[in-house]
Amino acid sequence: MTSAVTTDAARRPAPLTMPTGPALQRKVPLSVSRIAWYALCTLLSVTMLTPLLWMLSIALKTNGDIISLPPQFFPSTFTWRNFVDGPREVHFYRLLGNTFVIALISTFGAVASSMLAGYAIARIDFKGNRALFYLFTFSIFVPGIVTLIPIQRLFFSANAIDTWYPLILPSFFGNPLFIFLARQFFLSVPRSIDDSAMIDGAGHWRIFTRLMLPLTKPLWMTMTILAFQASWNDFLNPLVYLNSPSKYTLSLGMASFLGGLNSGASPEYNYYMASNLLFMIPPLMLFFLAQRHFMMGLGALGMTSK
Amino acid sequence: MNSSRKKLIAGIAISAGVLAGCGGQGASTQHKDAHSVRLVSWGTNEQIKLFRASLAKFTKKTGIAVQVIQEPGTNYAQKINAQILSKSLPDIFWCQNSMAQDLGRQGKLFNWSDYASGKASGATDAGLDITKFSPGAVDTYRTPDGGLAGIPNEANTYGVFYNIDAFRTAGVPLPTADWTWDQMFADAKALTIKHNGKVTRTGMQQVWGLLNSPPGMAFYSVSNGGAPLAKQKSLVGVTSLQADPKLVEGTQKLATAIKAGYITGPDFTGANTEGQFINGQVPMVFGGQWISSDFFAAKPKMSWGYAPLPHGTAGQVAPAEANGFCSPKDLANPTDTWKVIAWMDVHAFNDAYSQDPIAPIAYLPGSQGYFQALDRDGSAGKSVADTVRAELANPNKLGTTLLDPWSSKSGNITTATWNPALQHDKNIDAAVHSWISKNQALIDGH
Repeated sequence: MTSAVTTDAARRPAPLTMPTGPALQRKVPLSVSRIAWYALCTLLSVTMLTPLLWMLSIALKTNGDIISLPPQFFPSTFTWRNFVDGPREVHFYRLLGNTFVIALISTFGAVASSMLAGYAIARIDFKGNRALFYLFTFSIFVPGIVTLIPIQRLFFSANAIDTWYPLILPSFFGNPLFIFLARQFFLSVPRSIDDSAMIDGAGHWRIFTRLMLPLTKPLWMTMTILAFQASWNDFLNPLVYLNSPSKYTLSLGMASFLGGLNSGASPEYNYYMASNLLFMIPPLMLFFLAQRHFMMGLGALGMTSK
Repeated sequence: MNSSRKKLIAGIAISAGVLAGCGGQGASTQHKDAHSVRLVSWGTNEQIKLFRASLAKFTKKTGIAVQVIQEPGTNYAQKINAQILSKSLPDIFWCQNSMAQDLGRQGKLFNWSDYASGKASGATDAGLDITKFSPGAVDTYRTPDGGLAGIPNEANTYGVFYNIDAFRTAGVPLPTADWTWDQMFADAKALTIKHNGKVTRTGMQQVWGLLNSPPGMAFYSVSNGGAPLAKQKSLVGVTSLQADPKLVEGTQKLATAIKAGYITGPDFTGANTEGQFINGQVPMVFGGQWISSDFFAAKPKMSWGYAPLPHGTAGQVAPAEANGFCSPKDLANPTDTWKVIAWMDVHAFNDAYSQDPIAPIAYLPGSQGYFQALDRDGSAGKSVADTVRAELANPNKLGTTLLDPWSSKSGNITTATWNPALQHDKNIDAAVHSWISKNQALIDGH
């Protein structure tokens, strides 16, 4: 009896739980590779965080503190008012509203159009879809500055100057990089899913909205982050197309801190940095909220399925 | 509030925003309203506030409304070019000599000649007397065909900021209003500190590259009795360039000082120069008067002054350089626009720069506010004021940069021939003549 019990226990698979007690107390030796890895991570963290912390330091300083040499990291007086006075200088909250509206609509346009185009190229067999895909792929490598002039002329001749149309409309015509990513991602989804849905009577629109969108959440979340950030940070297009201060975006407002061409006085760097820190918050929040999907999206791009 | 209602409200808010932002100005935004003028400035937030306050008085007096719009200095030329393409240039926009010359020759700017000369109807009522500009300032806005592409506003002067304490410690006499080029080179040498042959403190840092450029060395040449780079002293409409022996002589002296580490060379960026000067770490800084506003704001512990460009055997030469007001060719209401320009030069800069002194105004009566502000800054302020006054009043002026269309390619020649010669003390005579001949080829080929 005893022997049988012992035998049963021996056959039972080991429990899938974390070791407790003495196992946890056992010290893992710090190998050279681990130390090197931590050192590298620390170095990278420092190089990435130092500029941000330095921004915060300047944002809290008085004008006199900023130019003191050797530079002091901690302000002699913490001037929290810079976070109120700086944004007020550029009508921050009005520009924030403008930027939000433009960025949200542009992001929707870029993601929706690119997803649809990517789906069509990957899942619908039509003549020339491969050629279309290569055309989109090639256009990734055309520098934006090359297309700026023709697009400008197009909008100028359409009387769209000093409106938000030139900042929003182009995004609805697809982003070549996003179309490329979408096509690759859709190729990784098994065809059998579409086939099953079609047997059940679903068309492409239903397959796209009901099946593909949930399945490709990491992809379009990644696109959303990238598109929102691109629109949020865009400086050149608002500069070129907008003439009325009431329609300006935050990127133009931030640039106004820098003053003019040899106009003299140094910029109010403390106001500039304080406002810039606030300017960074929305895309940063979006990234943190969606970072899990962002990582999955990047990780899944290499896979394909037939 | 349920979620569908929230979505509805969010949708309405975004739609309202889009409608507001997508309402355009139509094809041409050149102002057709007879009593409204749009003025675009690259000024700082503080300057814009002060201009608006002054122009409010103008509006009250004349009934002409002025909308002051701030544009970032970054990519400013691109913005102006886009507005030219879309025919949406404002009635007045800030421009530089080079921009005014370039656009003026293309026929894209309003020709202010008749207003400046008083021939145009209503021109004299505005109160701007063209004879009261600093000598040479208006010339840099005259195009070769006799047009006037802009009206000067903020003028620039150049000189050497010096740390009085450092000079006294080194036992070097302070620069005076009539100091010479040789004294400048000697002072830079005397104030340079070397340890084991390595320079640990450069005597003079250049935060602005005028001296390192061929037009800058022409200042040496002319003040020592030599010829300018071109007979057109404003460097507008240049037909031939000349390499005077005095130009070679000055360049040789500068190259020697740069190579020895007494003066910084063309590759020096000057990013930290102002901070170092304020903290007493640099004895001499070559630059424009505008830097002084940072020095006043920082209230450095050391004493400092501002010396003018040095004298030569033939006297002193001063820079002809000013920003200006430009207007589009198809300006809808030139007379009202002229009145606004006049108000800016006669009153607005006096009002604004008495509180935020950045630059003197090329229209000399418009500089009173600037000088009043300097008076509040003690001996350093007086030193800056004296230098600026002297240079503005000096009739012997030279342009500080090449302004003709061919000169856009001249920078590459300077980088390839002039700068290496300065920094490595190569055969200066050959380098100067090479620079001249290559630029002459550009002129001839244009």
